[in-house]
Amino acid sequence: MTGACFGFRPVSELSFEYLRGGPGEPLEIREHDGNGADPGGALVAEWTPVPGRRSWGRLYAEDGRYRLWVEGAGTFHVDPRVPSVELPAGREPAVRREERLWGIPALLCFLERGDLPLHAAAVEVDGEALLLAAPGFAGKTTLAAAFDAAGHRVLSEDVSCIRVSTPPAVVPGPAMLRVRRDMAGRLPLPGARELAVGDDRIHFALDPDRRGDCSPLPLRALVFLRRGEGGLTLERVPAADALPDLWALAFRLPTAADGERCFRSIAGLADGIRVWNLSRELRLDGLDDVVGIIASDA
Amino acid sequence: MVLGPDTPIARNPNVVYRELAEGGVLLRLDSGQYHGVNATGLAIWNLLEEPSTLAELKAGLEAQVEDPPAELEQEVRTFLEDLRARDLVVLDDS
Repeated sequence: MTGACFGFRPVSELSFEYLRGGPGEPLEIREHDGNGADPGGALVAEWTPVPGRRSWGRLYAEDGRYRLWVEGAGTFHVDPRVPSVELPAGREPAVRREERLWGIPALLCFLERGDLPLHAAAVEVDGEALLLAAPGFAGKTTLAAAFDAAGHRVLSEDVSCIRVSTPPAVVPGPAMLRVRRDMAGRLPLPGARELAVGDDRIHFALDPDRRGDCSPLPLRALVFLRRGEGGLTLERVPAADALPDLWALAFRLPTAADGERCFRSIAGLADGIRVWNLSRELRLDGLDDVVGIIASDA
Repeated sequence: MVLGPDTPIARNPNVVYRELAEGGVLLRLDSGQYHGVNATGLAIWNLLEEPSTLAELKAGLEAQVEDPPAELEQEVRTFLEDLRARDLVVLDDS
């Protein structure tokens, strides 16, 4: 399937499951056999393993290129300046490998392009984007799936690409939903096709008629997802109060220059859109109400 | 080092700031700690574009307001001591 993701059009002999329609900037994608010597580089980030949820990963950088090693998956070589990504061959099923491709490797490429990576899901409501922000395992994907079930387009489910423009915009990412196994059987997903079953997630691809293309959508609001016991509430957050959480959710390299870039991007974002705290109980039977209040009031 | 009226004060070079619709926010890049400031605090921060003394900052603020309060110097001192405690400014003893 041809198409694009995060505004990139794969130039590759490989096939992909999660692309959207429309054009994009060329992104060279190829395989490597992974038998070369360790190319070295400085360690810039490490993700410690969380059993059943996250693999051990390390990101190295050298001369503007990156090497992402993931336990059990192999090494991804990324050159954002081309841009290009080399995928490890023969380590994982193609679907799982593609999902990793649209994570850190793609993020590094759109970071180079000047966009802001944010740990958030994004959905489309009335032609605008809404960000659903929370750290991992806080219900982002389940809520994104509920928006899909309600007929809204899912733009991304884990990492969002924010175009730091005036007004800010969201560039749609992979057309996928990785739903918790205990939720997948209870949450209708009429517009998605099951691709794979993992230890804790079922991997869905959005149907072609629900993907759209990668045209940036104006960003209307950002909603921080909070867990609460006192019912469903939506409260406005002043820009200055939103920054600490945005800082925690934004990806940045460990350099002063990138820290400053990140800060300016999130400060501009917080000052330019409505930011909300949504407090809710994590109940499946309350999801429709959550979708409703976000879609109408955020 | 005591913050006297003639002690040069400078921004910590590891701090970035952004003016928002209401006041602004300072961020220490090395620690990721934030410090929100109101409009007056932002005015003081802007005056610190070059190292300045407490006396110079007081004079700079007085030039920006029509009827400066009598306790302006103490308010500026308190604000600077707070910034200093958070390592957002440094006393320039060079």
